[in-house]
Amino acid sequence: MTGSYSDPLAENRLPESRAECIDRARQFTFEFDGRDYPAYAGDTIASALAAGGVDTFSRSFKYHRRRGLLCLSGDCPNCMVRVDGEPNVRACLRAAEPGMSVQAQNAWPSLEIDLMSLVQHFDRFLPPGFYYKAFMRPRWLWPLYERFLRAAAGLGQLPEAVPEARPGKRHIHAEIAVIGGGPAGMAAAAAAAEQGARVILLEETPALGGHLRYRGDYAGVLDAGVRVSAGRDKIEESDVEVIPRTHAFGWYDHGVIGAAAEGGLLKVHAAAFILATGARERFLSFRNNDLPGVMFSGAAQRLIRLWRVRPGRRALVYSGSRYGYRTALDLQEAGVEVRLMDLAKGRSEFSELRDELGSRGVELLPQGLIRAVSGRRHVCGAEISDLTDGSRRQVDCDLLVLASPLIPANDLILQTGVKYAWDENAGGFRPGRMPPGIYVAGGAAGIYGADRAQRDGHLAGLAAAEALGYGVGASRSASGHAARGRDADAERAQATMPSASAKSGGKRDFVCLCEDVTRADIRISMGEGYQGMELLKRYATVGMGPCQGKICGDLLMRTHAEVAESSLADTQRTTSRPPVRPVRLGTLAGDRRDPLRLTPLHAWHVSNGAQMMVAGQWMRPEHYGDPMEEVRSVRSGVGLIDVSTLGKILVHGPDAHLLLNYIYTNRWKGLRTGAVRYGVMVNEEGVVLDDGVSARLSEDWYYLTTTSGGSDRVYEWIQWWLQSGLDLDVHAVQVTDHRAAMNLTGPLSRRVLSKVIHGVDLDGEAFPYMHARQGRVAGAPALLLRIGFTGELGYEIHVPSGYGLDVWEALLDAGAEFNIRPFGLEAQRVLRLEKGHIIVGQDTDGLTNPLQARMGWAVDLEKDEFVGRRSLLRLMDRGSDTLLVGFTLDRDLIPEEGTQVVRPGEGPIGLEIIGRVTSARYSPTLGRVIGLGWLPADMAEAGSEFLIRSKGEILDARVVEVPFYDPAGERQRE
Amino acid sequence: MILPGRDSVNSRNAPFEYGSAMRSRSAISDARGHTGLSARREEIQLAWRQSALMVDASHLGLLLIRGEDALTMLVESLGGAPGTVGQVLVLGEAAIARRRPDEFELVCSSFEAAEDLAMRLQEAPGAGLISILEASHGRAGMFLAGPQVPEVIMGLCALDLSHSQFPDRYYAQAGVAGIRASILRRDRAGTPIYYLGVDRSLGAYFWEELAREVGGISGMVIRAESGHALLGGWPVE
Repeated sequence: MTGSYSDPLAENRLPESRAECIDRARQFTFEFDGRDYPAYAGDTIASALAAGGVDTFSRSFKYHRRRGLLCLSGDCPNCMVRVDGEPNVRACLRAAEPGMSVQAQNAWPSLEIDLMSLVQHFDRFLPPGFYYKAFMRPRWLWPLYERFLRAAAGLGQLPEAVPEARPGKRHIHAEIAVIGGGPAGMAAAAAAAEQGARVILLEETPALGGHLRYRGDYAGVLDAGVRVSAGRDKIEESDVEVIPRTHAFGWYDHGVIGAAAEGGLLKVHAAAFILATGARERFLSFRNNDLPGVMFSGAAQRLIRLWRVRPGRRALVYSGSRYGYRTALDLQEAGVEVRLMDLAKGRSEFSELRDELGSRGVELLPQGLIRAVSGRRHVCGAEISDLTDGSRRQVDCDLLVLASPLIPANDLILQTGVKYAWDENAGGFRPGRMPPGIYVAGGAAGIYGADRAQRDGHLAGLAAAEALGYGVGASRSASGHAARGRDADAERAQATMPSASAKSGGKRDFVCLCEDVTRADIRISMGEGYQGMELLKRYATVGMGPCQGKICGDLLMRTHAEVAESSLADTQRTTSRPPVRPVRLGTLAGDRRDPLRLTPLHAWHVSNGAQMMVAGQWMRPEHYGDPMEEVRSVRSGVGLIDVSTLGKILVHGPDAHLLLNYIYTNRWKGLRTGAVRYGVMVNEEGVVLDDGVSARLSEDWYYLTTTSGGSDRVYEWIQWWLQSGLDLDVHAVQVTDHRAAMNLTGPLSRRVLSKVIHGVDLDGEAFPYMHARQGRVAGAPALLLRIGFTGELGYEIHVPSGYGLDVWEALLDAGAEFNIRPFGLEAQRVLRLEKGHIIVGQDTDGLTNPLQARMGWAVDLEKDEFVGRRSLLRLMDRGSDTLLVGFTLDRDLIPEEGTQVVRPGEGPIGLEIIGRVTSARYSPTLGRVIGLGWLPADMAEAGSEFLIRSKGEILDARVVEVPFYDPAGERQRE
Repeated sequence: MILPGRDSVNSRNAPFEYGSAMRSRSAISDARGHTGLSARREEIQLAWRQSALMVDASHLGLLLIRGEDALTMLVESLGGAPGTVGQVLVLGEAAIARRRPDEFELVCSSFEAAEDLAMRLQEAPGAGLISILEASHGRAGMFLAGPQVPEVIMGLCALDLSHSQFPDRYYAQAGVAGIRASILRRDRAGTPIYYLGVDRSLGAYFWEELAREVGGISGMVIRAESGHALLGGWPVE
């Protein structure tokens, strides 16, 4: 007896025990709702608070009812708290740490006085599916409803600050992965590893042993300790890699399990999985079954044995399993006044335990049903009806321990495709046929009790290893694993537990603790026609909260069967989906792995003062200090820009021209070797995909360039068509990274290039506009394209990437006497806009066709079939509602890209949106603001005036012809 | 006509000119060529034998060969080629990996070796369309050697690199640290050595990701210009 013990730190802490997992030499305090609580190292938040006398941990989601510790295994939602800003932390799983700040959730203004709990008194107005029925009328009150509902909805509050450290994301590989470190999992891992397989074991808690650590359904605690140690030693000897504090939350395609570990996300790959996820106790239905003080026997035993916390003072143990007796003994040893309702009274195998309880003075109550527990803030009594005569009595207690029959903890297993069926003989659910590579062992397979689970795990380990070629024939029992379920039926592990308060209305009989769904709600929903389980789940929101059906799944099936007057065998279960337990979004996202691409010239840009920016997947120089000056330099002298980011694809083969003819809208036949052509690519609907120039390098080699962001897309597009029965003798190779590219442009660019070029005659006639040549630039083999994105004389120089920096520096050296300037993306945007070139993806969107984007000149509908031709023919006939036009403003105010084009009309602000601005810049060359935008076709004529709404102002704009600059294109052809 | 007029030679003519006296820069360090060592030989050997050693191998040459008759051509002109996808055949200083039934990757000791080999293969007899692309400049490559290397790489990818699943002279393409990489294993003296190749533009990112992992297990990271002088084309003891 421990009645005289008094812990100096906490009222409910019990004296030291050899099996405890707390370190009493290390004490500290932490804060819960503004008050300090003592804790020992090894305590969880929940155990420390329970030791300190806390009984209410949270408020429920809908009715804001008090909730206390129920399972202590992370299954239920009752102990979710906010820890150092992180919401929805399960206090029963999170270790207490010095100085941590813990707050209760879902309560206002405080956990003790929660005004939102008044909602439960209006529950008649909040039936299942109320959000489909209420708050609809009058419509003008909706803003008020919405404000209230938004404030009331949701669970937890996001942290104010984004955590600096992001969790990692790792893959782990093994031949056999064992999930669960209880007796079955440990035995399975050791057996498989002994046969030579590479095995990992994932365990959710810090220590191996599972229920052996606190249950003791055998000789006692010390025996349990010996068993755990033996299992652990065997694991260590067998070279099994154990990963503790890791919960497997989801089964994914191709045999991957997602697991949340302390360091972040683990993706577990294995050839075989042994799922030994254990069992859990059934939640029972009776009035006020959610009150603090109602607790599973496993939770009570954990508190007593692991953390040495007394769970109550006067306990009623409602015992339908062997664990009830052991829990009653533990409670009695902990100084709790115990009564036990013995539902397994007739079973001889428990007689010894029953005698022991009797000898210790534990009162054994006649078999009965729990109808209700009473109490406002905590259990203060239980109402029981006698099973034989129906008489009722009140039992005084502050703790109701539910030692209900076990059910498989099979949430993860169900995701693998394993079906569980009701086994009338065994009185429980049993797994059916396993998919290849999946083994289920122990409690998860409906095999309960430490010895049997261990034996079952051992067999599963051997079977999994044997299937992978280890220890073939070493054990005939391996093949017996599949049949061991039947063998286990020989001993029924559980007593039958009568369905509690079956006839009650069920208004406060909670089925789903997460969403506050009662038995009455289930009845109402089914009465409204939501009979199908999946439909019922969605309508009543049962099983849709943080527990994901762990607590309510079984009770929902039983309630459904009862209301539908069907058997459990005929009752559908809800679908299990990842995650089986809540996972932090940060864990799923992992650390910031942003694989940014760098051009071969990146280091030069950085060390020469470039303002770098992220453009798609690339880092690019935005400017080198003064983008407007960079524009002027190109227009009047010479500039150099890094365009290595351009997509580059080599197309090779005798049918290469046929491929290009098929994927581009314009004609490619007849393109001579050494010539360059601009092309537009559309999809089957005629929507613009990409554009770029391509050069014919030789008879059967073409060099395609794409937009910087379009490289992969275009390459995949080409591969798609090559593999779609075109039957073309063509190969395509992505070479974006093989070549550094730079554009030397401006009226003086020829003079600069002539200083470093070898093997190419730069004369305008020898090397005309829209042609390609190969030669040497600064010693590097180079492909030169004479094209003009900027509208000036220009050369796009493509060299092997490893030489890119040397060529760049050589060009800058050669251009020094001409005041050459490197220029960045901003100057390039201005230059191309002055020339009226569009940027695919910026000036176009997912619906734009080339006809409306002023690119009709690049569409040849007369040529043979090509991708998008039929759509473009129809679009041509139909005409375009909107057109892309150039515009100018009289004011120097630059509208933001995406800004609305408007005209007077109806609407909240008296304006109608009729288009949008896609590009706008101040042109230093023209001395005014210019831009591109979408307008209704009837307003697209040059000279038409329209309005732009930008930054709260209405700007007058006028449609003008494009290009804005050098419309005849003389400068680039020079 | 300035463009090379080699159209009539055969269908395997190169798209670009070969040959340059210039030294290519690594995508990982911007240094040209190879310079001296920055780590002691004993330290390097310790990392090699006990943990992990990481060396920039962007100086290695790369050839991509594609075509239905590529296998026949390689066998006839080089004397062999891997028979199945994922296998690696080592011929002299070149390692030939079979990416797909009709696609091969040749890793050579240098860019020059890759160019020489490309020219040799272009002249080889054979029918059908075969594309031969000297792709050395498009790739950043690195060696990871040492007993702890499989763990390092496996933590970053979905591929099981344990010996039983990915033995010596195996090849695969897989997502590693969020990007696509070629992984080629070629052991020396019982030490697993992996050559990892990625797009050149992602080389710096990839190097940093791997270096963090290698550093995390007390392995050794040798910058580009250092490693080559010691290790030559492929790492040797």
